[in-house]
Amino acid sequence: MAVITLFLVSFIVFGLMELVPGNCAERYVAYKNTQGRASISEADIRAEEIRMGLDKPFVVRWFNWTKDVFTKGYLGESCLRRTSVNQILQDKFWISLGLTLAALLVSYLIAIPVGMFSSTIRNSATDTTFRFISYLGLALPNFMVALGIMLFSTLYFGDTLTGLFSNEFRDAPWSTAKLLNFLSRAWMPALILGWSSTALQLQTVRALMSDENDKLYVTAAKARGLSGAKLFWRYPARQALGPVINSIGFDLNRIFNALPIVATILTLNEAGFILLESLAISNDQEVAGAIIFLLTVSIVFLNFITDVLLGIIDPRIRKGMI
Amino acid sequence: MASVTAPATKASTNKESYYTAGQAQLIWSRFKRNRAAMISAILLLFFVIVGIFAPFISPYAPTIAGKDPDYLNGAPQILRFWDENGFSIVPFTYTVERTRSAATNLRWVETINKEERRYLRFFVKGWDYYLIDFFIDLPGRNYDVRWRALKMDRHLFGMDKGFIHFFGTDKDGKDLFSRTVHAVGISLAIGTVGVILSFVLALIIGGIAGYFGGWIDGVIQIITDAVRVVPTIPLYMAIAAFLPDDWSAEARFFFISIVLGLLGWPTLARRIRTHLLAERTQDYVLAAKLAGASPRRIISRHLLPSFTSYIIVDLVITFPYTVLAETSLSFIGLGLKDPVNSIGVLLKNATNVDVMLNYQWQFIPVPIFIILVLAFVFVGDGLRDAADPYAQGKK
Amino acid sequence: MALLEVKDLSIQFATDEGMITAVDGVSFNLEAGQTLGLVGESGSGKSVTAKSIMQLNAGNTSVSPQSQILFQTAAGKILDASKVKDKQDMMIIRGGEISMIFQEPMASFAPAMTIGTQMVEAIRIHKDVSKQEAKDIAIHMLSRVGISDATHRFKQYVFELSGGMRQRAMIAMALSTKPRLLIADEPTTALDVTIQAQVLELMKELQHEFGMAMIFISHDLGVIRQVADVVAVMYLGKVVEFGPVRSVIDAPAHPYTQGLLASLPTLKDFDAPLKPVPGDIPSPLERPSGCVFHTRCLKRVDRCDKAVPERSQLSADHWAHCFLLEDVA
Repeated sequence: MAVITLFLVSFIVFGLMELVPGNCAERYVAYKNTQGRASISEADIRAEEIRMGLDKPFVVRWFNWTKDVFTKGYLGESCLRRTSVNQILQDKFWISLGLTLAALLVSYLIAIPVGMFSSTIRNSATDTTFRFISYLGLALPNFMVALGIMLFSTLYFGDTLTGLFSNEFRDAPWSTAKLLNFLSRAWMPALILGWSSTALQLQTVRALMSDENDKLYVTAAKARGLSGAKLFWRYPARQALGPVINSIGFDLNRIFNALPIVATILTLNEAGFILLESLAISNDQEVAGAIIFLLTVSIVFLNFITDVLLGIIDPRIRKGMI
Repeated sequence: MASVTAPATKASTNKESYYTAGQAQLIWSRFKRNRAAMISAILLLFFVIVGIFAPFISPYAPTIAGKDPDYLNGAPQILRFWDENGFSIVPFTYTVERTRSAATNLRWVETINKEERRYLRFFVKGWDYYLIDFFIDLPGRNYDVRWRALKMDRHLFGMDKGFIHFFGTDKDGKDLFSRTVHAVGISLAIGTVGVILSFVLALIIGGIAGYFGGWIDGVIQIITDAVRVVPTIPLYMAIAAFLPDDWSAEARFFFISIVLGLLGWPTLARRIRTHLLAERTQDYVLAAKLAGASPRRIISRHLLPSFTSYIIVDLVITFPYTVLAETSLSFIGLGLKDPVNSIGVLLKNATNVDVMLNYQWQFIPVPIFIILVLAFVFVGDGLRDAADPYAQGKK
Repeated sequence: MALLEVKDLSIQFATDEGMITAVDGVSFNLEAGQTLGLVGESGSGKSVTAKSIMQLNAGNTSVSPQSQILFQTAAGKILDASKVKDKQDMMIIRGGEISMIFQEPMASFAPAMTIGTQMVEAIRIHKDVSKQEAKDIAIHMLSRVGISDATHRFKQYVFELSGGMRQRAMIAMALSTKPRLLIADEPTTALDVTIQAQVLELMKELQHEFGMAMIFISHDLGVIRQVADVVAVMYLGKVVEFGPVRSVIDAPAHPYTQGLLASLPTLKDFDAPLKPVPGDIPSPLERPSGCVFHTRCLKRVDRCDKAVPERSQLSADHWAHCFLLEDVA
């Protein structure tokens, strides 16, 4: 199932990149032109197209690309830089993914306990505050939160607190010190990135818990004498966990949506910015396509894991009842 | 019913109307009871009116044509009724004079002349505009569609001389109030086009999947799932980045609405499919089939009306996401661009250290934007709760 | 004293529309080993009354302070179940000496835990036994209620059982702590008629075996006639008639009871039209003044909507609330 989805996704991404006006050969030749070469002609473009295999029909190129991706993990060649896309993305992708997963973790670590707590004190003042915060999660997109924090830190600390590394580590090779530096600075971007999903997840967890609490099996368990933590964790909490796990994939998607923008504001050059850069500056559709494909693969993979997890916690799914 | 007697009559007529109310009436009566949602709905209505009548409400053109050359990066001005020179029934502000001389190191210096009062006037003559301006600018050759009517030059308010800037001005001296008012309209318009487009797609795709079911449904579900997992903003960025720079602002506007619509359909389609799958097996559909109605008639006359209200609810819920997407994109410079006014564009202009440190009023559109989206969210939530009585009391 | 004495029980719900009275001044006694049938249409407050004995009503419920639900424990202590707070006493009224079974067995088992796990858990809350001992008790109870291959069923989930089987498992779980009072909230309504009869038979059998009292809630007088010793007829939160099941059914005193009985289909005359009680239950927000039943009563007189009728004693243990009876008495 996941494989079918990936095939379709590769087709969609490849197709969309194809629809974009202009192809790689034109762009490359035009780019060379700005480097001081003589003016380009139709013939130059044609020659370049043939060299790159762009003259072959769409389906063939798609098939070749997909085959390379699935068999060799090779994502193709960058249009302008003439190196493999894998080379360009490398650890930038892993840092982005790491940051995203950290954001996901942070948001669940906050949302689940707070949401559960909120559901036990329904309609109290604290609960209303949490609900309002979760509404803000929608109205106040991550990049505005990032802006607000920057505005604040610029005004009060004179430092924008941005970037994933301090200056001295920016170009240094990976070391323990660099890793520690990364961890000491990465928490804020992670928090900002996870903001929306935290706020929304909070609302979801609260609603789910309230739903489960009203169900007959909870009353029945109370009637059998269960109470307190045992009742809470083994009955409603366990049931509410299913849909929460189910939504992890969507939250990863949400964070990926926020990543390029937040990364721009916080000047996280290492992470999502690569996407913006390769899109806006270099017009590199091969890199862009590869990035989107990789992001999607992460989501599909995560969805796959959560499906397995769901099967473990819910016997109805395991036994094929639902 | 024989023994229903006098004291119960009034109550029973109320009840009678409750029992016979249509779906829409039921939703409305439940919605009315939700105070937060009602306030939000009124606010929203206000925003929509502001958006539609933006040219009438803004005293100055939101473009470079409407700039105040004497008041660049100017702070918000407040109307007064009195000062040490006395009281005035008509509110006024002061004249700002901008001078430079050797004494000021040849830098521009603004002084407020308290002797020169500027009085507020209503329904003043100002810049020309069309009250109805429907404009589709397709890229490339001349496929543009433009239809406009009701040329006017009256504005809600203005000053007898000089300018008034409630929200201050930006670095070009453009009135931020006028820009914000226009931005609300444009952001709402983009949302509307995007939502309508995704709705049409969703209706077709979800409708087919839901009505026919079986393997058709299966295939459509797989495709929907695939489209849904692709992160939309990066994908949109990938497409928008390749838009030629020479496209006009209006063409970008139109294009963005379309892309937002194209990417927004899967969630809606899924909802419509679920509705249809649930309704399809109802007895009244079977009855219609037995009576010889065609699939088209069954879908349009029986199935769709049975959940129109729910679809409207879904649309309202989707709306803020579309507005948000536009804002995000414009903000990173891949959506709308100056001189078009959208909230994203205004935010982008505000994001630099100079503005942050010295001209914070340029962030005024932010709270307005937040209120707008919150209003949508509350209305959407209120509608959803009203449409689904079983959800009541759980919140 | 009796096993259970409910005195002047009044319960209200706080809702968005205001306070709703669900139970209004209900009193009745239940002797050990007896079965009380609680009859009434939906919304009559019978479930709320039963749940209040175990403090199971939702958080927006308030029991008025003068209400008393006195329960005599095995140790001879008398607990007011409506005011119990102490954890030990709570255990007694929840699952220890009072157990409850619900209308929908499917929904009353947690979906993602095996039946065995839930039974063992419940048994170990109330009895100081090892896991293995609890498991033995559970399997024994399962086979006692007629579930074949109990060892296997023990490991299954509720969705893997059939409807009748689920209700049996629910009964097994409720009885595994040997309660002195079993509250059964429409236990057979969701089952089809043949299985319904089996389950009723089983419940009567088990009641004798365990010597427990039972509160059996149903809207169906036919079912009540089979299982109950005494019956309380409820309408809009009030007990309108109370008495031994025989005398209530043979000589119903309250017009509502008469209406309910008249609405039962008879086997003697197939062509006789069904006679439902006319009208609908009024909305709980518009509680009728005076006698709550006057809006639907076929025998109403002038003062019915003005004053509340007092209790009229028809015999030592049979009483009802109706002005017509006052005149007779």
